Amino acid sequence: MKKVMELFSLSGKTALVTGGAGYLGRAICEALAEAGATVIVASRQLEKCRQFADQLLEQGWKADAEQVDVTDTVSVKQAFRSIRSRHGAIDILVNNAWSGTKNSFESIREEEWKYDLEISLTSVFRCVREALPDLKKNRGVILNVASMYGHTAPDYRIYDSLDLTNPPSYGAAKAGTIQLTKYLASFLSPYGIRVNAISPGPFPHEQTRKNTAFMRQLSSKNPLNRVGEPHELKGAVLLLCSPAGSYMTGQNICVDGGWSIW
Amino acid sequence: MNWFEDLFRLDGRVAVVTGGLGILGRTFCEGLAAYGAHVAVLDLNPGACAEFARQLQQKYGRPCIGVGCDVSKPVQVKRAFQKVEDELGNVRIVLNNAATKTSDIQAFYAPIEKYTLKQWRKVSAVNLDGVFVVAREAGRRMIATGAGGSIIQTSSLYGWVAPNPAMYEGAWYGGHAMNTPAVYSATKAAVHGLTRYLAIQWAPYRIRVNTLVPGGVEHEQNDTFKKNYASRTPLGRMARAEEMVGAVLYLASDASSYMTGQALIVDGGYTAW
Repeated sequence: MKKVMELFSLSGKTALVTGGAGYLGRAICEALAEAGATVIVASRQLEKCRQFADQLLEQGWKADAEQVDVTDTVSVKQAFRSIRSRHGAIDILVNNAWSGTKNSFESIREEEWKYDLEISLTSVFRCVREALPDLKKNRGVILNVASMYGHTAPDYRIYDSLDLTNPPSYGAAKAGTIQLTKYLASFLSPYGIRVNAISPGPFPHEQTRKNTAFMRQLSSKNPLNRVGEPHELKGAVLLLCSPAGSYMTGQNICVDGGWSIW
Repeated sequence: MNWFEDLFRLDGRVAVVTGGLGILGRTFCEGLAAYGAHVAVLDLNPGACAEFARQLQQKYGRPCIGVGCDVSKPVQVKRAFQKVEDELGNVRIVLNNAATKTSDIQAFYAPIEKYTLKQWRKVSAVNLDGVFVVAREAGRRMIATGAGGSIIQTSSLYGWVAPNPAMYEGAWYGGHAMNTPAVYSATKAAVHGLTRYLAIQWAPYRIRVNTLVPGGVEHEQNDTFKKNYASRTPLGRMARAEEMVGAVLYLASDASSYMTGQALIVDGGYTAW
């Protein structure tokens, strides 16, 4: 039987993380790199990705950067060609990219709605489609980053200004991601490809954390009475991406401080 | 004749309601009788059951009977169903609804660290064992008659999500400091496990089994609790018992003829955020 540390090892594997230089993306990249994978940090901001990949390299891990706009099929195809030429077929795809504006149901414009769905949901379809030959070849793994707001609604009372409000498009896209995870888990199972999701709870950015009144309210809504720290996603990411999770597919792990249990 | 107008009608169908004298149980009995069902009210106190059944019969003009029955006693359950069959006819609808706080309120509300196994078992004997025994009796008879039926099992919001302890600060129910004990959550969650199991097993016999999941129903809670609860609910208030009746009639009638193994959550949006 495999020893527990071997089960979590990603030695010799290549992982692509979209939105890899972002707030949660960094923690995800670190987790995969620390487990031995070569991590490709990808987003639209190539310079930001390079800097973070260099940081990983300096710490003795294996990393590389790639430019990709997940809303653009041509860009995604181009990125995969470029990655393959340097690293061969990838083993792990983490769909983590997100960017969008804060909005309420009343303020969101149709272009914004379309953009949010495009970057958060359609991007998963697009990246999986491009990655599929690689993942089939390597019996790879897909991890989709969903959200607690993919299965519960925000309590509008804690979002008292447009700077903070979680847009309706976000939860809709994330709910779609959770369902797509199950669909893919079913349809890709013949190829030995596992597909899972994580649903992070409240992990507000540094900027949001400065608003102490909001932070207090947000924390008080959570059984653990606090928000999450990015490193607290590492365990779930590694479980689902490594052989430690080899019998898990189609699941959604909630790393949310208990948000949805009461 | 427009068939849809009669979709929710229960004319002449015999319905058994366990816990029929409870806050929800009484309201369910009224709803069923109002839609034409012949209702058997089952609860611990035979005299009170008979009296309530008499009132139902008078008000709705349907034959109704009251039967004393402790659902944790299989023999009593068997006798009660036999009596219903003899006096009203074959049972088509069962509201598997009885639950208990037991006679020892202090033991019922004890903190989990101090909860005695004895008390846990006393509650489970009704909330879970009783639900099994009633379902088994109903299923046996429905299979034997071949007419099918609908079994509706009452769970709770707290079979779905955990209670928030902050909600119980300063909360009283009927003169006692209240909470939601773990045995309540655990047994109410188990009810739905049984629902899904039975829905599969008995589908070939045209017996549908579904779960009703009520949110907190306003009763003898003090204002502090009502306020606490309301503030955590999108609709901003606790439920009234009558507001569960629509769901019960839906599940009991042919309106839900293609639905089985499901949970109908009536919680004012509590679990939506």
